[in-house]
Amino acid sequence: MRQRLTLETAPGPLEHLPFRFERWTDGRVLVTNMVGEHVFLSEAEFSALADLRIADPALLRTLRAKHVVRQRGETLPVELLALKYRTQHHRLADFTGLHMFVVTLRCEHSCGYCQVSRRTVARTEFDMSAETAVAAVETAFRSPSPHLKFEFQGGEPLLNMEIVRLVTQEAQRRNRDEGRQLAFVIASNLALLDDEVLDFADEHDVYFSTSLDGPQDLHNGNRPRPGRDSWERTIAGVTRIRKRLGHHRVSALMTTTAASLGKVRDIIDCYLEQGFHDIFLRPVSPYGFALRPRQRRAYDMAAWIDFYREGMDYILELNARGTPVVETYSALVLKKMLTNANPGYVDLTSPAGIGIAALLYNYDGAVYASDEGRMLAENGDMTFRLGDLAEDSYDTLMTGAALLDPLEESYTGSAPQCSDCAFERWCGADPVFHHATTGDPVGRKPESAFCNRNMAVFRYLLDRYTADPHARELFHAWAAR
Amino acid sequence: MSDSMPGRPDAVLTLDAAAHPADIVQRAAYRFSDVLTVELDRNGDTLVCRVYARDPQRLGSAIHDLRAEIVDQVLRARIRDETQDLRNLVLSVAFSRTGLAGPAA
Repeated sequence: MRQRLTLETAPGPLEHLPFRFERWTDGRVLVTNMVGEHVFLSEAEFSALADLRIADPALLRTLRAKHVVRQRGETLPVELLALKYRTQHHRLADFTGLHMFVVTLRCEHSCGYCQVSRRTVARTEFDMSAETAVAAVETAFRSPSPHLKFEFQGGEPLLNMEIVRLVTQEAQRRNRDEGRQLAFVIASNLALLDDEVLDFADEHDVYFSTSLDGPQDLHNGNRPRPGRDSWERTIAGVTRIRKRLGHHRVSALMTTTAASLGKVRDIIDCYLEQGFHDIFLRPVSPYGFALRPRQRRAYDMAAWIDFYREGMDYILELNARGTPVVETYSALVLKKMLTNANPGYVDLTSPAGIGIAALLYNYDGAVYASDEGRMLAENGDMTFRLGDLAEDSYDTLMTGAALLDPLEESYTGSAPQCSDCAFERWCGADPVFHHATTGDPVGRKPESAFCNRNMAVFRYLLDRYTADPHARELFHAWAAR
Repeated sequence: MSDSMPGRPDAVLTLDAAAHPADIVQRAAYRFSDVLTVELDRNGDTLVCRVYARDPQRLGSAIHDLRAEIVDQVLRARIRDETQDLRNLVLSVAFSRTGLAGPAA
């Protein structure tokens, strides 16, 4: 028998769907629905929404299209919101995809902002052993994720290539039966890059991520090493990787130090000169060595926000002139803001990304919920140490209070202020940052540098998106990457 | 909250307790906790909100911001209460067939 189509021909009265709002200083009100889709309203329009007295048919269409109101009895808005909400959370089912291996603490650099208690090159007792490496691979494969990324960190991982090779080969051996998508990344300063490393990277499809803080004098000032030639070696390494493996096989990350402030245009120009069209204007982290009194709070978040805004203004200007360049963090935010895709960036997820998006295996067999959790441990704070590969099973590591408590406490759906915040769907929980800076995984949001930073980024992006047609078009392109 | 706050408040707001539950005022005050702290006392139908400025020079605008935020928080609470069932419905549909939204034990 043919099924009858049911049409909603007799809509009930108008009613609100869940929404949140924030006021803008120019009088507009930002309204976001349950999945973070947004609309700006005038004060009068917002009052009409609040009182459900929406006389303007165009406004009513907009608010219905944005799932801010529905006519009672309509099921489509509920189904669409549910579908979008579920899509945004699909990565949770995959579980941990990023597995970081600290193969050594040794490093020949002595960067002032380094978050790790690096050791001198001769101290091989700070290298990961083969036994620990194999146990870590075993644990990584316990994750149900169909995509496993193995990231080698240090110290300087090129100082312990033996273990980088072992982990890569062991993972590939195991994967012959498992059939997952594997990716390998070496996070290196590239100073020690040689043909053997390049041969290995070529054979096993390994990518490189390096540090580039900007122009030569700024970079070398931030990243001292014997010979004072960090920048020259990094650039030489980038060139060799591109020549041998291809342009796309190396990416760069910068860290904003006090010396970077006021130089954002020079830093962006340097990236472009070196052929990098993605730049992540990244503030220094408040962890590990970076917490030492001499380094601590070398600048406050307000200074970084000015730095970011100036940088973004310049990036938009460059794009308008035909030079493509992307600010990576903004692109991640815009993907969340303008699409239902979840880029899976650990700092912009809730529940937090610790453990369930990333795990870190330290050289000594300790397992941490994140890279930053390991950095805290280097200063004696073991809060985010989940266990030890030699003693704990995967189940024990992933179901212990050290992971589950901060995940639950920091969840933005229930955290003070976050639960009411119109930006919540675009933001994330960062229990490690708040623990490091305030002593608890939630922190007080008005005083939180994490919250202040993200609020400033969201407001900047929305201001440009609504005021500048070119920025709007560009932001949609970034979001679709 | 207790009356352990030292010194005299920098400002006092007197609110209709029925229209401004303590939870609403606390949520509003939290948003300005980098600028001010508050102490609440229920006195019959009145909620007395004593305000202590962290920086007295910023008190003037902070009080206006706090008042405006209290009004917004009243609206937020109304929307939250009105839409609670719909929110739960969306979440239950979103996580149905995932094994995460089974019947309560």
